[in-house]
Amino acid sequence: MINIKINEADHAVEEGRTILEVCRELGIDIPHFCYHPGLSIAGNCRMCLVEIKGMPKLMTACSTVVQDGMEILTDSDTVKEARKGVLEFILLDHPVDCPICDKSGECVLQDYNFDYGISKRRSIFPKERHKVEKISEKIYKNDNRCVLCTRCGRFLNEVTKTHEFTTIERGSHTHIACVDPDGLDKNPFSSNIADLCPVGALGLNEFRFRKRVWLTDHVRAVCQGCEAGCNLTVDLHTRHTPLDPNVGPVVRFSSADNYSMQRYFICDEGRYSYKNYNNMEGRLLNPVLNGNEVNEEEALTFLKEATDSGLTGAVVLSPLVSVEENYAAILFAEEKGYDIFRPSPFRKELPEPALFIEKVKAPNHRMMKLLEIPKVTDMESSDYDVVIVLHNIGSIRDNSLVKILSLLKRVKYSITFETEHTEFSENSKLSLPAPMFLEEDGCYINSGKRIQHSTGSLGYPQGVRPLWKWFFGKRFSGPEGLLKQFAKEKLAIELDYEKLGQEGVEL
Amino acid sequence: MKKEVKLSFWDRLYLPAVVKGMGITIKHFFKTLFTPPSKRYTVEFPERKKDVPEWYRGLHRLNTHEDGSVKCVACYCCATACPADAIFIEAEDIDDLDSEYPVEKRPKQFIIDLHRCIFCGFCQEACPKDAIVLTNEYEITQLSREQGLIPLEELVKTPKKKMD
Ligand code: SF4
Ligand code: SF4
Ligand code: SF4
Ligand code: SF4
Ligand code: FES
Repeated sequence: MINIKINEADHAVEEGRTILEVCRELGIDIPHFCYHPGLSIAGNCRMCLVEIKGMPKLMTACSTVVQDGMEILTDSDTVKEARKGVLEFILLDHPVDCPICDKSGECVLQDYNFDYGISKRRSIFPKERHKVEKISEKIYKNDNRCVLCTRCGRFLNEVTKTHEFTTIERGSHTHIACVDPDGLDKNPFSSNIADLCPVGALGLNEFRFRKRVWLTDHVRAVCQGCEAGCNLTVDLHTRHTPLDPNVGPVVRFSSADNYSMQRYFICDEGRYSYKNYNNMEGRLLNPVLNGNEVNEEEALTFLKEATDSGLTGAVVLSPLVSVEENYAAILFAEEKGYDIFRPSPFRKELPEPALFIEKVKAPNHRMMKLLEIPKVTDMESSDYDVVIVLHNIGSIRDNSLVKILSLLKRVKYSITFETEHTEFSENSKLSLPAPMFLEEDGCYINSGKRIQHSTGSLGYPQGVRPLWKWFFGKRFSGPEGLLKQFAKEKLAIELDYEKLGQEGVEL
Repeated sequence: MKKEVKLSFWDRLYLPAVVKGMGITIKHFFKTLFTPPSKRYTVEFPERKKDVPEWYRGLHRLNTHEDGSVKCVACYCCATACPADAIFIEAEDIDDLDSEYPVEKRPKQFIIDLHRCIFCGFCQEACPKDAIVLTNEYEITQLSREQGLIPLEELVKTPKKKMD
């Protein structure tokens, strides 16, 4: 630890870090374009200039390492003047077509220009024009808006190591060129460059002109695609106006930085999976008893009849739903003396390059392993009268499913929780509608044993109820209570949503 | 709040009140009849129309370029500023990337719900392209709610504001 002064205030900070990183952790914002926590330091945009006492000139915060006794000024007049100058140069050749630019509203150039820039262009020379291109199936490129921070190129060179981008020509004619459009389509991470680009020079074809970002709500969630547990920023269309068509409700997934996991990107499969949550067709919205839709009371009566008669039973957990839902099922099973099982995970071949993508395609598989739940395929006898199966297992597609299905068909009381009509719901006596991802708060334990909170800001439709409400509607008031109890009973630690924060806690 | 009103017998006859009201009407009728038309307060709408001041905020217009294409680029600024949620826009890609100065984006649908609109003029203030303006047009009654939804094709046809 060393002592430095930032804006006249004393701070003790870790050695060997750059000024920009130190300031970020202290909550001091330094404008920057080319710096990105997941990439190497380029130091080419000069936006991050700060004043250091004793140094003859301004220094770049992104590449200067803090030293003992350093006195840094991040907001002095000289610094502001420098920012103004940098912005003026960047905007010399920038079209400023914010009204049609999809980055508008989340563009740092726009923000910085509001804060530090000048409002009138002094140059009389015409701006250089480049053609806007759809460079691949996924990405379009508008060189006019590029600030040449090279984040995109560095990402493709350093992270995916696929080298599709390069800068060509010199001086003011420099621009980014894509030398391998096919490679960009095949690259399972290429859409990240649209998030990475600090301006509207790179964007997703799919999102082009679909929605202005300021008309969406942004929430944080955990990707459901695999066990890696990447963080998502979910754009939700919740501000419905009378004339709106039914877009969404999920408009876009983009990556959310998780500094403690050092993960700043998501794979394209996860990114484009947002469409799955817009499909309301086939959704189970009411309890179904023996093939007929029934109301809650009738479903509850059947549930009581099945579980209060002291029969033997089994619960099949689901690695695709949250810790809270699974724990509610475990709690119920323990109270009734039922056996607990899990389906074996569905594995998929990894793409090239795979980076952090996991083979196991279930976000909460790690929880099952942590609690050492036996597999369904290891079930010794199948002499049960009651079988309860948790939601979404159908999408796992593997050999344990046959076993679960035959079990459901045979037993006297078969109960499934499902989000949509599936083979499982069809083959059980009672199927209960359950909320989807994004409809209910929930935590997931990823392959690195990090437990992370995913917000459920959409809310579930009428008729749908989470599992804990069916079983413990009176005992718990929300999913957080279940998490607290789970952490205490099973992990012997204290946890709540506030403690998990945005980045989760490693177990 | 409920207030009990006791009507007297005289009140419950109603006739005196009717006669009194008619008296006032007839008085005004003759008063107007003998005033020269230029001094009358009433205008014989719709045969005669009144000029409204320049700042009057009436029916919206979407301005066009010389070649007839609409100036609006579907930026949603007006829809965002609108306090009554009266504007609905759906954007569209023009695919004119080969042209020298591509516009890229235009509204596919642009609907103003006149029954929601409060004619505040915020949309016109917010527009970065001077595309949407409120004109002097005030004859904007419709027979149904649906007719109050004015689409893009109509909005470009609204007559321009009369400037003195
Ligand atoms: S990149 Fe930013 S500043 Fe440039 S046009 Fe787009 S929103 Fe505006
Ligand atoms: S395209 Fe975007 S990310 Fe790439 S160099 Fe230009 S501004 Fe930076
Ligand atoms: S005048 Fe006001 S209420 Fe009417 S459309 Fe414009 S912003 Fe909306
Ligand atoms: S603010 Fe102007 S340019 Fe933007 S959508 Fe409205 S009318 Fe079109
Ligand atoms: S962020 Fe430091 S030079 Fe670009």
